[in-house]
Amino acid sequence: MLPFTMTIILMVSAAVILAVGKNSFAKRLTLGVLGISFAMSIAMIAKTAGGGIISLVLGNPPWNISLSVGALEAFMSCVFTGIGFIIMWASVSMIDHDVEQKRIPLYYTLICILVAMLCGIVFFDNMFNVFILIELGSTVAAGIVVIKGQPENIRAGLKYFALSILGSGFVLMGLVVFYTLTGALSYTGIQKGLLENFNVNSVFYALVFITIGVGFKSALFPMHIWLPDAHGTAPSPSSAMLSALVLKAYVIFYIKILFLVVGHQAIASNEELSMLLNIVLILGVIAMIAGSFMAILQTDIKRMIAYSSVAQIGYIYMGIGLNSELGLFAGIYHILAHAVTKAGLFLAAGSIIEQTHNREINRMGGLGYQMPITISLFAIGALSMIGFPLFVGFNSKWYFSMAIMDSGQFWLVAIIALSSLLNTVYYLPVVVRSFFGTEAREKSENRVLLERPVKDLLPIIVLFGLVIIFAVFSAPIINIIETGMANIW
Amino acid sequence: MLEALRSNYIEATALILFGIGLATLLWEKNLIKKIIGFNIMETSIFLFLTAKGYIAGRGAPIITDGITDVEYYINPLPSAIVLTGIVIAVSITAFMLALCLKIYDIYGTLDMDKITVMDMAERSED
Repeated sequence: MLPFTMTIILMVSAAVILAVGKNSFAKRLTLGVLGISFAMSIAMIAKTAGGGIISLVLGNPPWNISLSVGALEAFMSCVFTGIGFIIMWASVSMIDHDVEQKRIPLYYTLICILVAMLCGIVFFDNMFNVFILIELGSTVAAGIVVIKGQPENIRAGLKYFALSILGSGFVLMGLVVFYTLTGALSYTGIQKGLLENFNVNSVFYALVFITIGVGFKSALFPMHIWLPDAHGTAPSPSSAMLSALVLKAYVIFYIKILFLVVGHQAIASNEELSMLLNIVLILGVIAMIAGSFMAILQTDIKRMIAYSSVAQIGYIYMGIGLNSELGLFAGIYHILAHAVTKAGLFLAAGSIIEQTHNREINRMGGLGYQMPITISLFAIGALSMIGFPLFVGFNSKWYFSMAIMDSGQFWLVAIIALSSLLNTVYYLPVVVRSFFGTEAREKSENRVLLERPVKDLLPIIVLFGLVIIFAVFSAPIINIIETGMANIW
Repeated sequence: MLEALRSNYIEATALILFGIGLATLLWEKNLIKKIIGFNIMETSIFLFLTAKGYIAGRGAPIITDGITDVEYYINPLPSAIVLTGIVIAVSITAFMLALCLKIYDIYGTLDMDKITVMDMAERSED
């Protein structure tokens, strides 16, 4: 009952927040319910850590809802609720600057629904239910972009929503092809149906549709055009939610379709399907390079971080495209690594913008003397993104390299090195410029402290603490991901 | 080729509609036409699904005259899915139209090209 109860609690509290309509109550209840959900996710991990699956069927077919939660799903729900909790904790002090007072209860309502949808996408077993949750999730995600109400938000939100539902159309078409082929809609049902009747052409078309659809939703390279606008203009806590969590739920859905439903052996043994995965690999590689290059060209700090997300999503798709156990493991580990680091970077950038009312990187000279803690935190995030040892970004790059060595496509190591180099080119100048140079010297002489109170910075400090803790004590995480992967590989 | 088309004409129609909807959504400049494109795309998927659930000579899956024998009805699952899909499509259309209304309030036009130009001008002023 645990996963189902969790989704219901989140949905109910969303309704309660909207009904009560008080700002401080909305903040408290959101934090409370996300905390409870996180505790429930931990309980789910404890239950599934031995390789078991919590499966739940409510009602009799065909009027039933079925959930199946293995270690991977429990782990993802931990990421969604845990990191969602920290982001919302940070939002308590940040959201007043971005969103009108009267819309704050609505904002937290949307957040509760969004987390429920994300967890639902990984929990539910019936792919049509998952599709409904994906649609609702995209609507709510567009909602937390447009809630700021500025013209550029509305424009970015509309662009995001239009491309997102375009992606949904493709996903639905793919599911329909699977349904007509097997007559089933659940992951395991389709998997069994495919074992009996494996029509390569139909599976290929279904996967092409789903790849394009999920590509639109999770911003795989040529389909990423909405991401910089949406993530760059949204309120900072929304940017953190969208970038750290929302993109990842769709990737997990894709991973489950590829490796649970179709299976890696079927992909490897069919020329067409392995060609499709190679295309995914190539798109991921292009995203890693092109996303970084576009990030270098940006002058707006939030748009720069948003383009960096395009590159990081490329890493995950590269891991998937390798079609090897190590590659998938590295991809899933990177989901966690990117979620922690990117949430922290967006919140740090949000703090800088809030205090200085300046988004331009060129005008951030000497900021290190005005906001020493925030800039130091930003530096931790930058080093993690670059892949410096002792930070979680290094671990995932290490696993990617291992996976590449294993698969024998050595040229990819050069791509990872090049991408890390490009990351250095756009992240480090922010840090360097804020401590060194003429402006910095002037500002260090007559100091004006612009730092936010430590109480408000605490969630960001916790996030960057996790960046280091996950890197140093990664053994339990590795165990959980490996147990979870045993269910789908 | 023609024979295959004749026996699968519903699927072919659905795919053509999907293409029309996709092209409209991507290439039309007017936001309302983009939304219409999305609706055409969804409808094509519903057509595809409904056709897959149809069994010639049987009735809609609603119990009539107390007949509960499965033999008299078509496959109910695709119909149920299509119904849910229609509800989702309606709510998405409503949300999109609300956003369009906001856009029209702000820019005074629904043409994406003009909006982009106005946005560029605004950004260069800053």
